[in-house]
Amino acid sequence: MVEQYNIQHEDEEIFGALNPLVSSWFRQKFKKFSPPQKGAIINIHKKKNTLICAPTGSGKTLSAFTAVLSELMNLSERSELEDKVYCVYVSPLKALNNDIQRNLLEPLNEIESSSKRTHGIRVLVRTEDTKASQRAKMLTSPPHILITTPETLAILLVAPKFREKLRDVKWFIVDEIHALASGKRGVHMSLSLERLQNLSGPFTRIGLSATIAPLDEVAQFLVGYDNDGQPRDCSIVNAQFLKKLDLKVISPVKNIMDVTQIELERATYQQLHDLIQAHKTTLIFTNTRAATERVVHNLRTRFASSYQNNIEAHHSSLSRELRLATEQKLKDGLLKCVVCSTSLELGVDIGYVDLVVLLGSPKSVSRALQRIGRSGHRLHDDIKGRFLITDRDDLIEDCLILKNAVEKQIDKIEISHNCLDVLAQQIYGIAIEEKIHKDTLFTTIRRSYCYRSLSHEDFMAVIKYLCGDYAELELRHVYAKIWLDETTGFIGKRSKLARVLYSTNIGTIPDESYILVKVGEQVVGKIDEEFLERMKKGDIFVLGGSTYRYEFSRGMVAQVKPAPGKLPTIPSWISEMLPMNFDLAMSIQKFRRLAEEKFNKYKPKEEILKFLEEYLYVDSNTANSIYEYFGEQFEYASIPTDKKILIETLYLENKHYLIFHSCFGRRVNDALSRAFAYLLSKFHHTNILVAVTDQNFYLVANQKLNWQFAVMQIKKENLRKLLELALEKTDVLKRRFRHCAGRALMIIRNYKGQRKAVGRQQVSAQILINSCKRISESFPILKEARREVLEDLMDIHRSEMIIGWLKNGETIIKEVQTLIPSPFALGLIARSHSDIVRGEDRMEFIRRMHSMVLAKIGQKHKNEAD
Amino acid sequence: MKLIEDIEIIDLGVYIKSTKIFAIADLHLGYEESLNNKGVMLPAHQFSDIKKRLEFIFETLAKENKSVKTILILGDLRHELGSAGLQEFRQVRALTAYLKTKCEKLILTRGNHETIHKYIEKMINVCDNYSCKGILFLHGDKIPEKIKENVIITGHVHPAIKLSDEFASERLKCFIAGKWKGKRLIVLPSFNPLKEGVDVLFEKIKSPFIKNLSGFEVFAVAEPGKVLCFGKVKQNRK
Repeated sequence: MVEQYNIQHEDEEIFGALNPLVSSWFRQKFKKFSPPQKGAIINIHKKKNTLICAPTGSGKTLSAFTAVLSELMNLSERSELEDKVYCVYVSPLKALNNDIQRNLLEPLNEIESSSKRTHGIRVLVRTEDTKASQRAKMLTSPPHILITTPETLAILLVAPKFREKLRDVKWFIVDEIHALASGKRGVHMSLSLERLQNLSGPFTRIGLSATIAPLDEVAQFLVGYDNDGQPRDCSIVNAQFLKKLDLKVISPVKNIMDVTQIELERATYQQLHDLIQAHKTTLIFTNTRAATERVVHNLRTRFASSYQNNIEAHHSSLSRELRLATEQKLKDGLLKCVVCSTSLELGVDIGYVDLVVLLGSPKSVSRALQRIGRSGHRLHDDIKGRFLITDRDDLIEDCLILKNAVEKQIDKIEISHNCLDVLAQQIYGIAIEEKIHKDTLFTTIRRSYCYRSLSHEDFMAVIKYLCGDYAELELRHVYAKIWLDETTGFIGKRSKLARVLYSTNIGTIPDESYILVKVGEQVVGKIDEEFLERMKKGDIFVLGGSTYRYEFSRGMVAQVKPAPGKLPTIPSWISEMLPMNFDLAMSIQKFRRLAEEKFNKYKPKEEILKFLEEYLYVDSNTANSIYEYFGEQFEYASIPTDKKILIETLYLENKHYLIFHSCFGRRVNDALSRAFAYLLSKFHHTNILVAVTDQNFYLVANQKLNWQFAVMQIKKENLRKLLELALEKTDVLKRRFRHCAGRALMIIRNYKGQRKAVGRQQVSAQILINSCKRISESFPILKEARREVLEDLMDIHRSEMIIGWLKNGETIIKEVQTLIPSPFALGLIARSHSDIVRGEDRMEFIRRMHSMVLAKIGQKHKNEAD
Repeated sequence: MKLIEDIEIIDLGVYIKSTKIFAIADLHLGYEESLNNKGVMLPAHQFSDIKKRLEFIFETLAKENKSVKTILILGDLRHELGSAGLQEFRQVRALTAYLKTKCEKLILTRGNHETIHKYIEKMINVCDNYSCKGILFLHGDKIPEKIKENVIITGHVHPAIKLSDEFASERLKCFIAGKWKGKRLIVLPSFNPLKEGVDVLFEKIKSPFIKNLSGFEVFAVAEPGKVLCFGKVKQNRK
């Protein structure tokens, strides 16, 4: 059972429980224990599974490791320390590993020098970067504490010699579990943990997390279930609100509705400059790479005398060397300011930062708190964060994030279930370990929280896929990765090369096949192949914040010309932005409703401003901007709320727009928009362009769309089917299918000694999909691609819930007709990402294109010959 | 659809009425095997698809009373540049055997993928190019020294046309027909179902015969047997 562990043990009790050397080292170093340590150390000492949720700088690492060090020291003193791994530590960040090793070696070395006795406890890092010579050394002198990544752990499990060292693991520590839990990497790790448990027997599981919710679920994710399907026990030590929060939303101008972009920028940079100057070291988050570069550039040019060598950019496209150099400078206190996209959100110790500024909404409360938590790195420092408003949508989002953070309303993450691609990869790994009975395998898998509800049917479909059942018998050896002996029920690996193939292709991070975008010889960025396939000469698209005109492509290169200031003709269909959390979105809608009530009753401005300041904990500038923004929307159209979806119909440049103001976050809007578009594309027999943001979505067509029809047709029960149909030919399904096929090792990137991204050049995703469909509509990889799109990328469950609200009248729809987009719809076109839902079939489309060409060249008679 | 008086498009191939020649190009047998070797475990459907398409073509020819004396494969019957895989070998054998039942003479003009082809020569006559009554047939990866014929028919390029508007995009295999040094040049689409082809409008194509595509006419194969004329490349480029 998962339960909160609220006991704070006394310092002396903990000191008494620990090995005397560890105990006296701790006393000398820290005097006493921090709150997470007071909760966790005794619990871990008693070998109980523990999830520790606490901010950075609260002694989190030692809260997990102290009991481990103490036990190892006891063994060492009794000369019982064997050459095997006692503790495995896994973090999603390779960069974190060396830090952790250093943090563990420090007490060990200090204990050694004060006790004048060698204890022989080894702490070693093993990642894909570990050299062969070091790896060999680890076999003769294995680490007692192994520091690694989820992927390397899975590789170690199939390493014939090293796995022998893993037969008696006592503790397993997962760091940054909040970053792992919500993605396929976490799903993957959850199975590796069960694999390890099969090898070594039960061990104590310890999770370390920054602010996250729901804690119960994350704890269950950490510990899983036992063989009987009973949830394993876990104690939660919750110290996440340990530090005092000092948060503010700052509006650089009095009324954001009434300034030019230039004025707003000037005021924003002035404000930013003032904040940086008033602090020792400031960390700025911008969300995107392009914005990071822009902010650094602006600060350097606008305030040249203040920023030259003391400001740096940090984002994932910069080389590793550059990033490490920046991190080092930050630790050494050489920087006044670091601007990053999202890259410094996690992990590595970044030293003394006394202010975090968020430019652009972090899209969720927990992410905001993680970012802001990078300041005040010592236990008794306050956490200081400022949301600097850059546009009107961020204005509302940031205010609600602040409100929820202050009121400790942490939005919930979601953990993916029954991912069949990850399952295929892991079953392959298990089969390589040793022969296993299929029932034992099924039980093992279902111990993972992520596969608790895996059906036997899906399990067998994956086994069949891995057995190569989809290929003709005589060719099966090419496709089969494992064998299944139908009479004994045992499963095993097929090829001698299996281990190499598995180890070099492991992981869940997709191997994208990108097209390089160039202006002349200069590379300006990368786009997806499927995106390129949509483009024709002259199309304008956005890349890294700039607009380009597409010229032509050759091989894996697309040639473009800069097209500054042009409106994109093809909106990008993958957003660089993170989707807004649903809980946050709902709190925005609720706030809109409360605000609308005030406007509806024509309350005086002062009263509304007062409400805004009190409800949102904001200053008068910010309240005023919101007042103006909502006021315009109220008078021009209507304010959408949690009880009212606003549909705005608009005719612009020969196109009919249907704008849905539905602030449910992009994952819901992605689903709703495509379902509506699909129904309408069939009804009107036309193609529809769909564009989506967190706050709204729109459909565009060449004719007026009958939205009432779609609302009538859509049902909770048919939503999944509609979406599956709507997705059938979309770019997004093709893209995700390619990723899933990679994870399930149907497309293998490292094969027979070659590393090659197999791109559209060789075979298009559509051909791959069609080919799988011919085997079966429910071929596991196809099924997983659909599931990933519907459940991970989109949010079908909440979408169904919202359709339910529409049906039972809890939420109503109101239509307004506008001549220009309402204030809430502005920015929609610029910020959205889009997709197409086709009403025509292939032949209809070809015929239409054909007659257009014929009309143009006046050669109608040529058609007759056919 | 008639290209010129004597030459007619039949699905993905051309039929020459006076000489009863039927020609196709670029089958790339063994392509899936080659993908397998690169790590793409695509299930093999290609051969049965090719076979079905050929059956469809021969039915069409029979229906239109077009008898076939010679079948020409204009290069790249096989895909792998190096040695043959088992899948390829079996498919080449099965396909040539099948085609021999449909004609009196089966000829392959050497393609750039026919570098090692000892085994192929046992199954099919291989030559660098084939000339018959003023028409020169060849793969088209290089230009032979002397060309007397007034019409040249090649493969090699895998032409396709990408149709797209703001809503959709489809790639169609196509024939292209234009001029080379005053002679007529016709390029056949690839017969391989996995190779969609290179867009003649905006992608760069590789052929020693073609410098500038803009004056070439495009005949797209929309679905089996359905050929649509799309006018000249330049008329589709705007």
